[in-house]
Amino acid sequence: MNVPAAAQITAPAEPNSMQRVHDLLAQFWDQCGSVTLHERIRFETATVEIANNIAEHVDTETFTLKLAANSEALEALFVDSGPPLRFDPLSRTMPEELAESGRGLALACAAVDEVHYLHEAHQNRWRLVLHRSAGPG
Amino acid sequence: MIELDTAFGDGTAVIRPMGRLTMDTAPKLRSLVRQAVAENRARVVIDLSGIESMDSVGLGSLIAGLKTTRQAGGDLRIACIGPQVSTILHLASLERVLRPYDSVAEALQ
Repeated sequence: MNVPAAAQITAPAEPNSMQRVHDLLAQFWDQCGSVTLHERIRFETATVEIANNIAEHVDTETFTLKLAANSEALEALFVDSGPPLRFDPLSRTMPEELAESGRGLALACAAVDEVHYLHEAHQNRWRLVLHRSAGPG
Repeated sequence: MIELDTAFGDGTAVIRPMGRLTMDTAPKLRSLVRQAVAENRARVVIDLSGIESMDSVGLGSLIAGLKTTRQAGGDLRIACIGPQVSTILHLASLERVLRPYDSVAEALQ
């Protein structure tokens, strides 16, 4: 087992930065080694959806994403200097079946075991946690 | 990259997106479905065998395509999904709306 592992980027809060998020995840998985497919899919889904949300909707210049793994959990921490969200992101539910948008945050919450959001010291902070015992690969 | 294959006969179209179906590529998929419907090929199959991953924007483009084809009296079916797309469909509770087919040929039937 190659864990613990860690990786980090600071990138402009714009859609073009999503490639860097995917690259960071690929680098992270190379470090982690033993992560199951199930864990990888769920953690990556949540991380990409939160990154999408920041890149698309948050009025800030940059955001920082830190990924960390140990034998117990996978964690992602996002920090940006944008204004606080005007809604409770953790209360978002799936929209009706034929909705064409509005699933990102609900998908993130469904994919991992813990999603925490808070605005403090003029920063938005998201913390995603997937417990390593979450299920089979 | 997204490929539009029209070799499957009248009224049908097969679209093969490759790589990631995300905010970068989802608009192209929507556009290709509209193009197929405009050409009277409203039975559209999305062959997802070349997709590494899909996000909520990509999923939204499939729903948009489904609505576009159904409004024209057709249908949109997805085929050859991998575990990542399967997980997204499950998490979004859309396995019934976007029922995955094992092959393009099965989806075209």
